[in-house]
Amino acid sequence: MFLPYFLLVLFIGVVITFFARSYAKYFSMVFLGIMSVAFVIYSFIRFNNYLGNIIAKYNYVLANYTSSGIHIELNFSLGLTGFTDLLVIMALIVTIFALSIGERENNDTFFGLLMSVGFGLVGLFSVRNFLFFYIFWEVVLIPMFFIIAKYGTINKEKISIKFFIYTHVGSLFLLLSIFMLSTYYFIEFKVFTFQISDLMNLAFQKSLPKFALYFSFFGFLLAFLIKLPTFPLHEWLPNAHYTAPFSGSILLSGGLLSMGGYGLLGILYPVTPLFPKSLVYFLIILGLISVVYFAFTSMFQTNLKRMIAYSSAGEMAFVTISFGTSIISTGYVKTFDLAGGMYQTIAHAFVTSLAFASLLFIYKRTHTIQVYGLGGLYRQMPYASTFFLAALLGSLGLPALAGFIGEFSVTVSSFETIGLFAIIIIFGLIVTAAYFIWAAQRSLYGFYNEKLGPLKDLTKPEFLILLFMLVSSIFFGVYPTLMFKLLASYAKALSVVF
Amino acid sequence: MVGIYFLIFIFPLIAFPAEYIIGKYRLKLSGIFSSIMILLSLILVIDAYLYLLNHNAIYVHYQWFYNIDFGIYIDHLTVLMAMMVSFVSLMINLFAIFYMREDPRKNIYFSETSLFVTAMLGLVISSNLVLLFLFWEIVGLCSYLLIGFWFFKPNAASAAKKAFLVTRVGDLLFIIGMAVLYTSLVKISPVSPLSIPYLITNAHKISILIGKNTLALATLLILAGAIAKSAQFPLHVWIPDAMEGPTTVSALIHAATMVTAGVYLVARVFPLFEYSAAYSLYTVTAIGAFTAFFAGILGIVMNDIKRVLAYSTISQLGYMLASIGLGGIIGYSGVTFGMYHLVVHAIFKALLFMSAAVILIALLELRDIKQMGGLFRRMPVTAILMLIGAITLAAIPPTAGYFSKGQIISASYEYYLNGGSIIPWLLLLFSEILTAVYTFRMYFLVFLGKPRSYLAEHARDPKLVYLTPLMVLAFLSLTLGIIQKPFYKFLYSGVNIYTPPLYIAVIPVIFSFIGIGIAYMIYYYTVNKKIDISRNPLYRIIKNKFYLDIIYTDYVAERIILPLSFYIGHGDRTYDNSIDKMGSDLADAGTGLRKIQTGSAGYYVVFLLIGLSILFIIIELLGMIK
Repeated sequence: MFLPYFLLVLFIGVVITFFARSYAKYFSMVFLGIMSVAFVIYSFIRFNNYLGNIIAKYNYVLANYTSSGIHIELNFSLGLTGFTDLLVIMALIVTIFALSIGERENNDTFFGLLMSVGFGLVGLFSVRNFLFFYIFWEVVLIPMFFIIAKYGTINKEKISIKFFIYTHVGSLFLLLSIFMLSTYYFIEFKVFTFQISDLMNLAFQKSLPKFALYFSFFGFLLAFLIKLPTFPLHEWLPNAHYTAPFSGSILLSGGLLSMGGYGLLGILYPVTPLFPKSLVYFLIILGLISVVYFAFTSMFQTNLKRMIAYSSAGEMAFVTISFGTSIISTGYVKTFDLAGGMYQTIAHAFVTSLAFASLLFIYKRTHTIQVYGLGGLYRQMPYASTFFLAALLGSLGLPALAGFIGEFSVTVSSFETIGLFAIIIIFGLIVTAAYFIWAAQRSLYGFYNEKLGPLKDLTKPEFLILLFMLVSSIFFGVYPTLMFKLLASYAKALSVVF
Repeated sequence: MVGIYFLIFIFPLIAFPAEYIIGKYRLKLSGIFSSIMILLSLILVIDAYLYLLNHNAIYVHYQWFYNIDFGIYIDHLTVLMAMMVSFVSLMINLFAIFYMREDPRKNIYFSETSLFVTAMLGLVISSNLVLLFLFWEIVGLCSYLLIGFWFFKPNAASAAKKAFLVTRVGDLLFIIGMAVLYTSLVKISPVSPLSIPYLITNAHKISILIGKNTLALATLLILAGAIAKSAQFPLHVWIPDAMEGPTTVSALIHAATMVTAGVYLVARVFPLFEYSAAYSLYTVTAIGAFTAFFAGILGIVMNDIKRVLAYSTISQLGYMLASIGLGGIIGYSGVTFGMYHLVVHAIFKALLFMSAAVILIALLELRDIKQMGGLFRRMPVTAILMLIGAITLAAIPPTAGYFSKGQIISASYEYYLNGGSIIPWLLLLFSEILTAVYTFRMYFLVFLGKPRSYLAEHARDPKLVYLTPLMVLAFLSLTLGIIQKPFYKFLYSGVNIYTPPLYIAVIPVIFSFIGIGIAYMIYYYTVNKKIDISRNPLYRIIKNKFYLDIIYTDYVAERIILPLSFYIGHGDRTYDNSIDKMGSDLADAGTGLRKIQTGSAGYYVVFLLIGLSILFIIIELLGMIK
């Protein structure tokens, strides 16, 4: 009974934030801080001996109607798996990060919108019913649209609409697929339901006609791959990042991207044995292309924020690869692969948060984030530069920072399926290293760009924010034990189903 | 209780933040705390050594993630390596207190070196390849940070970048090597497939189960990691540039410890190499011997005192790798010879670099040996210390270098006698001449004759107390030869020490003296006759490092990678614009359609009827098909 109350309290908190006036920032941060501590304690208790099933189930019957053999039900059901539990924790912490660097100090609407995104994410990850899944999916999207449209910088109206339409096309196909699945379920069992566990059921989906099956795969994959984003469906991301305020960017890459990862590995995975082989290989190839493609496009960027945006898409390509390769592989490798992909989904948020936050503090002082506009920053701002360097190194997958564990697991276990094509991943990672190190050399090392004038280093609160982000990133890179255990049990349970 | 040995790398880890904070408030005290911590590590390593004398190997491990462990594994090989690392780090750290005394950011220097020592010791004692890889990358990171320590020098920044990227190539191939091992081993040993004790004790079984060629693929990929880290051909290009960092960094990271990590890795998983297809160890020998020779040639034409030493490091690492590769025929003895040379080399190379550091302090970082000269009279103590380093490097008896390198050359002769190729022996032998030539060319140019610049005229020895670490190392360079046989025996009790016939055994020594003679001639002609060979085509090829750097930067980076990113980036932009255009086209279409919406109900009814009739016609047609 913890989960529904948790969501309720969270919702109340979101509403209060909208009316908190100048206290919005501190109220929302303190509130979310308390909430996340509560949730972490709760998951420590509940996930002590986790075996990979859905726990903390809660079901509230909204409508239940039976007549002449036809059964209609609508439930608000919640539940957590090892994966979603960690995703919820991640969503809470990333929202705190986003709030903590919120630029508009006295604007309660801004913080309220950020909180709504966080609330939407928590709801999305904990809900077990497709109707509410879709609702929360939109709850994330719409406040995000307002954040970009209202508080963005250059060209914000146009780009926010593009962002909205682009991701909404995916959402519509998602909705169509959900409706189609539930209709077929109704035809077969005379039960009208939206429960994820019923609809995403291997036995049920086996009985579907080929067209319906492939259409539902198409709808789900389109929605999730746009969110992830994978290679040809990514164009909303760099522009949205470019225009969004920095705290919006953190939520974009920390929150919205992990929705795609959750969709693939948490929602769609149980029915993947029905995927035709060609589709699986197509997905793997998309993942491989994405790694290399995003590496090269990042290298092309001169705007540091766009560079980080592209590279965060490149990091999520590992999730696609893990999704594809783990369908084919078996046994321990499969579990390792899946758990690695899930770990990457979660850990990715922490590294990019650090990158965006440290970039913001540099931007606040220099008023530019063009690589060529900076230079030799280390002399004036040693702390900010150190944190930014750490973020860049984390993004390129340096061990002991969050990116490594996931990338390592996925790369190693993908070898089982794709053999020496894994070199392509390596090639992408080398290019990634190249442009990040190049960016560091251009912006932090070398002669100081005197045009920037004298700059002040980080203030105490800024330093603490970045330190907290860095520590959490290191924690994910050095001590994955507990989290990986949860993910591996869940992944193992997923693979036992087949 | 053996868990206490975790402290070997935790002690320096404490110094990492502590040094920074101490230095921030009391800059003068920088370097003391980290030295104490490294000393504690050294004591603990010695304790582990004593423990190992009458116990089995120490192996403590816990689950890290999934079936990857973290833990420590200390056996005879490890303890020797760890002892070398902690001892040399301690010496260099003590010297750095003097070397860095004027630097306003020395607290950062000492905290970064503490992190480096942590990672290096962790790398040596870690029990799992993945954990080893983690530390492997952190030493790379520290190397990056410390090469770029003087970040305001553009050269230093670009050298740091180069070092990071080149080693990164090898590191990522190393990951693929682990992938090969993991995916094939997890089926037979799901508990902890990448743990080092498992790999080295079951190497034979593994090779039967997964096939010699798969294992060879894995070992060659691991070797790629080792090649990048140990700067072997063709990935050696980063070390000479890395000399832009502080000289103590060059001594610590790019001569004594980090660059030997690659050799150590190959020695660590040697059984895997041994039981894989024979060509994997051939490759090791071939690369090692070739690099020894190749880097020796390059060392002769360098004029930067640190770069000469850098090429000599590459060359000596080639000896170690070649020696391990000889194990393909002579067995584990090859590893013991290589490891002994590794330890001896760490000591005398640290000595040479620190002597160079003393000279550079006196000469205000003037590194061109053509502008030095005559320093023997002005800096006699340094000159003698460096001479000891130089004769050890050139393997003149009775220094330790003579014993360590002589044994490798004898072993390569034995390799030839037992059915191997003669080429390694020839390459290693001729590298012996080259070693003597580049070492003494540098030595003569620096110390003999008359000063050739104002700075050289006014150079002075520093206070003797600062030179204590150098003296300790010099003493060891001269005397470490006595522990040659116990060292081999400790590492491998069945070691086979080769004593070739006298006429073979004296060749290296004769070659060394010939080399010194050639070096004197070169010195004489460059200084006194002022012969200009800069137009000689052969000289130009060597001077340009066989154009390898140019191929990497101008061709691979600028002609392939950058254009690719340019085209893909532009393609992405075009794609983005086309999507925008599609959007605006749709909007235009909407504007066009708006004209139909007149608001008059009559129109709508007409359209509704037309639409419905079309729909019915379609349905009718479909019905007819059925």
